[in-house]
Amino acid sequence: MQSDLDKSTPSVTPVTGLLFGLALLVVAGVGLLMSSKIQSIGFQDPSDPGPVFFPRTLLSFLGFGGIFETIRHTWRWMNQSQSQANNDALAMNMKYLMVGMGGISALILALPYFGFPLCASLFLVGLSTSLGIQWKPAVIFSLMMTAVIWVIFVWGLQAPLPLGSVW
Amino acid sequence: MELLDLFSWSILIPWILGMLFGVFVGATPGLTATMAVALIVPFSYHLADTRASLALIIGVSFTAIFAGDIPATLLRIPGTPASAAATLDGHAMAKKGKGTLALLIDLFCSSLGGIVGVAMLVFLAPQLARFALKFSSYEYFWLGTLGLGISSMVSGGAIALGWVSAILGLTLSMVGMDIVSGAQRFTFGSTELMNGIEFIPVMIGLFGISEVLRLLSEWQPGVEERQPSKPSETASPGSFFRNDFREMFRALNIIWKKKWNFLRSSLTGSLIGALPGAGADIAAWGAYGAARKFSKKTESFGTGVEDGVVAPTSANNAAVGGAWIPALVFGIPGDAVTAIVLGAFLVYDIRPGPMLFEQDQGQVQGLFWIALITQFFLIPCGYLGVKFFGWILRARKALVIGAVILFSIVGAYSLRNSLFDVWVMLIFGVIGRFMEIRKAPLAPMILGLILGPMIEENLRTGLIKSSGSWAPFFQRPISLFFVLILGLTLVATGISKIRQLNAKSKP
Amino acid sequence: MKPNILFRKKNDSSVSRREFIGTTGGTLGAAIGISLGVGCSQKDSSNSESTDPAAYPSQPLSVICPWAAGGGTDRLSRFMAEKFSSLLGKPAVVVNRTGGSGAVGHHAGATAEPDGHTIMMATFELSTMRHMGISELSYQDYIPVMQLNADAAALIVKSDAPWNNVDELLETIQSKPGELKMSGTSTGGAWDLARAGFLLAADLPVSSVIWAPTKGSAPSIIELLGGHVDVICCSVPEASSQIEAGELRVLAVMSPERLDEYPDIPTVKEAGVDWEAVGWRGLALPLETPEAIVEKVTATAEEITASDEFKEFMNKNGFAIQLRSGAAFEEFLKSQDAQWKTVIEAAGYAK
Repeated sequence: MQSDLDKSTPSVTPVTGLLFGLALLVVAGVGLLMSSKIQSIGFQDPSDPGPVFFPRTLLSFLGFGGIFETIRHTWRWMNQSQSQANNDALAMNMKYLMVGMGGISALILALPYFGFPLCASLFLVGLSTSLGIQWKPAVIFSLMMTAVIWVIFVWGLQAPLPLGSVW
Repeated sequence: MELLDLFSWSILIPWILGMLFGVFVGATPGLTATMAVALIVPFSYHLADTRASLALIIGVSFTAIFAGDIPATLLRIPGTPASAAATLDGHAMAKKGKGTLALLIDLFCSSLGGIVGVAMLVFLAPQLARFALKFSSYEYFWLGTLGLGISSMVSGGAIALGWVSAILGLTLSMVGMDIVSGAQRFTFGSTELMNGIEFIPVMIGLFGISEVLRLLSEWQPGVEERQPSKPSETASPGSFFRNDFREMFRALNIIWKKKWNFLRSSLTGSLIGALPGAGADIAAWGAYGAARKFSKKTESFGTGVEDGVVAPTSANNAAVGGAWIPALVFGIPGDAVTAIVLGAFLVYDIRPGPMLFEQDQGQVQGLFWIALITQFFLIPCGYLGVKFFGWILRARKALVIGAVILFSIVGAYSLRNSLFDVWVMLIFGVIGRFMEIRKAPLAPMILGLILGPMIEENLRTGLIKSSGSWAPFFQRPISLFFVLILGLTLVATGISKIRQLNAKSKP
Repeated sequence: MKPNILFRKKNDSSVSRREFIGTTGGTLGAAIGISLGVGCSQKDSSNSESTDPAAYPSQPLSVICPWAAGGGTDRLSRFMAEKFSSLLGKPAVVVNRTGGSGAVGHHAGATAEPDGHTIMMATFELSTMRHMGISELSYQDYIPVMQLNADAAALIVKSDAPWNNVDELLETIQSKPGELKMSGTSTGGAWDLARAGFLLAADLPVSSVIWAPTKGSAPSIIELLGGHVDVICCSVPEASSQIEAGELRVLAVMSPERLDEYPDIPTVKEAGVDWEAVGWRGLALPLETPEAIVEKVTATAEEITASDEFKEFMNKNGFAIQLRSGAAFEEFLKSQDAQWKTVIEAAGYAK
């Protein structure tokens, strides 16, 4: 997937690696804490290593990976100049990312109340106009797309989509 | 059932329309082959001719796997989990502007791989089924581990990151009710989590939404470009077809050069498919790993080499034919799709099972012919699918992004009519994007999620059956075989990594 | 669109084929082929406009299936939905609400708008989920409409197995506790509970056989054929093709009387073990549903189950028909609830 990039572009920046390592540590830590709450119901065969065996082993592996990753990238971070640190892959164009994420979240939140047809067309109009499509083609496209999905899923595939509880 | 009787309009029309439907459903992430078949079965009851009904059902069930490769290649969003391997070299070829060629190779290999699968079904079904009975928990544990191990070692990037990704996927698969002891794990009291995390929303999120997030984060207002349209797609209809024919011949020529790879992959695929507990996803990775190992250019895998396209797609289609072996011989379906098809067969008075081959020669032959001819029909139907999706992707990117988001949401939702799954999809979109920035491969994670139950349950059930002894995991001949393969793969990968490092450090 | 062509074909086809419609295909045809209006009015049934019994059904019906598409319960749900649709004249959609060992779907069925437009396909797990601590639900959260089927558990072995009857099997279990391996479902699943109850009724501890959990009866049949387990516990129709081919043999069924379809197979009661275990499926409605609507749904269900098509469908799918409507169904559910409570507690599966 990325192996071609791996060879041509410089490798991952320390900040990314550090964050990834910390994220692994958090997942492993929280998971290990939660794993103590697992209780087997009923009769457990004495030869069965039990329901916590796999999660604990896997989470420990993740934890080790996280520690390794964190240490390695902290080391790299401390040994590099300030200018490089600013040039981080995580420093991306946040504006459109936020538009997209916010739009999707709002769409999912609104779906049960206002229904698929309205929410989906509004979402598409909003997204495509903010990405630089004029509003007229955006509206036409959104209505068509929503209608196509409705026809395919609700009529064609018998998969009911929410129509909204408000009306 | 006479062969020529199958070529009447009352059979051909539903057959081919069904296959086009299968292509569409399989190519839409979030719509599964299971869904396609479950929906088409009721239709089949309305057809007057039983053969037409069977052709319709078989046609749909055999097309969806190829169709899953279309978005995997063009968009890097696998339509089915078995297509995850096509996101490597297939997508890399598409990025080099050779998407159509990659998909044509894919299409021909799918069809030919399907033929190999059906041929194994016709000639070796009872023998292979008896062989598959030798597999018990111990063997399935190693098979799952092997499939996951290969995918994490060959998905590109650092091997350690591949393992991290695979372990993340395995950990996710622990959520929900543990079938061995009945314990609830990491469910936080939510009924939605009791059945575990569904892999389809995760897959749509990891591949689809993360790609959308990448496009959005790299969005440059105003400089929005259209997909570079190749001459073959914009010229007059005449040259359009001439160009495509040339591409087809190129594709066939390439497959001819890779014939050993193709044969090895298809045979591996149908063998793995014949095991009731394993499926097209393991088959694809197994074949990809083998092709990589046998290739002289191991290092170039993942950068768009043709071998990397041929192997997984031949294998996953051959596996579909393979999956029919236990289904027909024992009457026991290996996966959800086959289960639905078997249910439909009962309605048409075909009773799969040990008696089928003895009692009903005519019917069995009819089934085989339909399965075989379906592989040939796959070429025109799949070609139309490739063209259709290629055409859609030429729309402005801003519109494609919106459409992908909407389809992803609807696909995740309609899996079990739950908005919970849509949130899961979104969360995994963010996780996938983050992992990609860290250059960790995503495919092992999805495979870990799918194979997790297989690996864990078989290890634990195996231990229960052997009263706690680990010996059967290493002493049974087939287990030992898998252990050796896994060991050899590890060692070989390690050696090639060391060589790479040495080569880098020398100059 | 292709559905049109298929739909047209339906009209040309012979009557018998046309009448043997398994599922919701008619709905689809109606929605696309005939009128767009029907499709437009397809609403989420939580959003009802009318609970007037005389007007029932005033909108499309949905049948909630707590298990995945393609399984036995799903097939039965689709068959019933199709029949409800043709008798009541409104489209009927199957909604698969899977998860939590059936808890998600059963919950959705109990909390649906009580206007009769959402019908629950309840299954065996409703009798056990409360005692297992999976859910708070029990049969008392529904108005039982009609039981459709009951499949008795059976003890199945390979045809070359050393046991000829239940007594011999029990003897082996008693003399070598913890050696035999049984399989059939996940731990705590229907057939595991059935065998646990069977062992308890025979005065043997639950742990005297090893239960090798599998995802369902199909994989356990393969394990049995491959010789990796000794006995499986599942319903007879699930293994019927192997039994007919002479590869597997049924020692006994856990039904009150011998099965009509398999009169040669003895019951465990005949072997002196006082025990019966059935997996059942049936229709139910949410609690507050008006009585007139319950009656209409019951009448419709009775009409369907009286038809030959129903019998043919059940036969072909290997579901044993067991009809109990209204109070009789409730009585049955009550006894099931009590029976499984005892077994679950005695086997140590209770939370």
